[in-house]
Amino acid sequence: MLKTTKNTGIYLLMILIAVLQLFPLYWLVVSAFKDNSEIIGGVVWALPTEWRFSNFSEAWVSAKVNQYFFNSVSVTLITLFCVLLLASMMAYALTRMRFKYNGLILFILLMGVMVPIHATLIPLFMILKNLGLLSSRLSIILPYIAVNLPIGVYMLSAFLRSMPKELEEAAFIDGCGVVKSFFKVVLPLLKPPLASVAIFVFLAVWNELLMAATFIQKETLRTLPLGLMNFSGQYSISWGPLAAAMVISTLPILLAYVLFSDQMEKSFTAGAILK
Amino acid sequence: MERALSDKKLIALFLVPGLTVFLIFYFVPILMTAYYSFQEWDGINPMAFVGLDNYTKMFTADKSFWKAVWNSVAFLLTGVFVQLPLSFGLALLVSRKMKGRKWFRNIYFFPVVMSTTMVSLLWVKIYDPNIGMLNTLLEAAHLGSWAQAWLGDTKTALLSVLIVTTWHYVGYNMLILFAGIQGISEQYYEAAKLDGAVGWKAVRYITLPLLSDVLRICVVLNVIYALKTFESVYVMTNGGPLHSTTMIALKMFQEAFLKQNFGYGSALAVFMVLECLIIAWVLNKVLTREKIEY
Repeated sequence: MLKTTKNTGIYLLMILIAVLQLFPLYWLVVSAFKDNSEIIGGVVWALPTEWRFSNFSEAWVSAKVNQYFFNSVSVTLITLFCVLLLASMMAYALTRMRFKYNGLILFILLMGVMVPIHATLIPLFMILKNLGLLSSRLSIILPYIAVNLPIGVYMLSAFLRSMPKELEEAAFIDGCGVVKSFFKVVLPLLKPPLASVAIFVFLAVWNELLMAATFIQKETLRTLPLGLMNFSGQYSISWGPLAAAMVISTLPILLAYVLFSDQMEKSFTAGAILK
Repeated sequence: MERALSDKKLIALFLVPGLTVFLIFYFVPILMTAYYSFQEWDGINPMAFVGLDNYTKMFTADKSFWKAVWNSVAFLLTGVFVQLPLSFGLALLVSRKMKGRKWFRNIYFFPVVMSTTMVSLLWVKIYDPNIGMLNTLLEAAHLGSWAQAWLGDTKTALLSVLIVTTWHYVGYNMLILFAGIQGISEQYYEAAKLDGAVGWKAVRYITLPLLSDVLRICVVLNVIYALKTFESVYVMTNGGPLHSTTMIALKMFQEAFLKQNFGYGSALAVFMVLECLIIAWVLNKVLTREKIEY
């Protein structure tokens, strides 16, 4: 009897915290369907009287969220592909191949895990300007790759070190060279840690604002966080379309979360322990 | 195989592409920041070497610098003494063997994966004096006199931003601590039960000591995140009103890209790096004790 009341109490507490965590998001979603008069005059937790999908179409077309969305998707996909490929090649070389400067390279990469990206911002701006890359997609893709490589290399090398070498040896005996055995044998075995790295990089790049705000000067190349920020300045009075734009930009994350929440937990804990 | 794996050309093939990108777009810029910090430079005209002038200005003349340092301390203290205990409480809650705990864990964690820009824009609206949910809720609760422009007032702006970061990241520490708690063997609790340690006693004498490594990681992470804060203040207040929410990273950004003081901005960046590295190192030293074995 005592135990059940205690458990009910704990459930109630947990539900209360869940409401605190979810209510702002609930408000965001219902606001995305309301118009200003309903938001200002209406009850905060009420559902919209009329579901205004027009907010979404307004955000998508007039506020150019479609463009920002496409920019974010392309920047994220290119960065992801390059980081996964380059980081796994580097991790393989650093754990399996034999050469002198192994330790030095790992140490230099460690700096990339420790030093905040803010410290690279001013010189990067100059470098990109001199290379004529400002106002191009590459101006953020290249720094994004550089920033995310170290953590990728560390997560993948940790996995590779614990992986037995027998399969690679078998591949060598069958006549595979290093390159072939890397692509045919090692990469497929790296799938689980690659998924963790992929999630980590996806969120980091999809959500990045500082570098985008500094290096992207062309309006048509803005990514979602940057576009939303601007949008909120222009639409400071109508909250409905902005809320709709925010809902749209969170949908891919929500989708990734629903599909890979276990993997996401793993990649966050692994990432935290590295940092 | 050994010979193939020490082939210089192959090693270069695997390492050089990634390493080049890393060096040019991350490592070299770090060194350049240090170099810029000794110059006076507007980014266009030639640089002028000014020695430690930028640092002297930072520590003596620039009043809003100390405001930014103080705000970092506020973020840091909130992270360690408010957010971390809350996260630990949540981690204990979701570690209980009960139905639906995975659901709760997912809900508590979800805000973490949302971008700081999004979360900040959302809370700007929540705090908004006209359309905001907070004032409306206060009025509904007959506390209308409490309603105000939360982010626009020097008295409430910093606190309002701190509440948002706590709301945003409380699930992050929870998840790390939860993973740590899962790693503690059931045996300890069973042994403790025989000695009469259940409930809070078990937490105090088993969970906390065995979690000390994970707690240390969380403390270091929270401190570093606090020192690096940029996006939330940039989006919510832009440092204002009257520098009441300004941070080092934001000042660096404003000095360099709004006022064209690239040298001074770089000095601020160097300060930030050293601050992060030194504090992380000190915390690691101070918090590392003899490993606990039972």
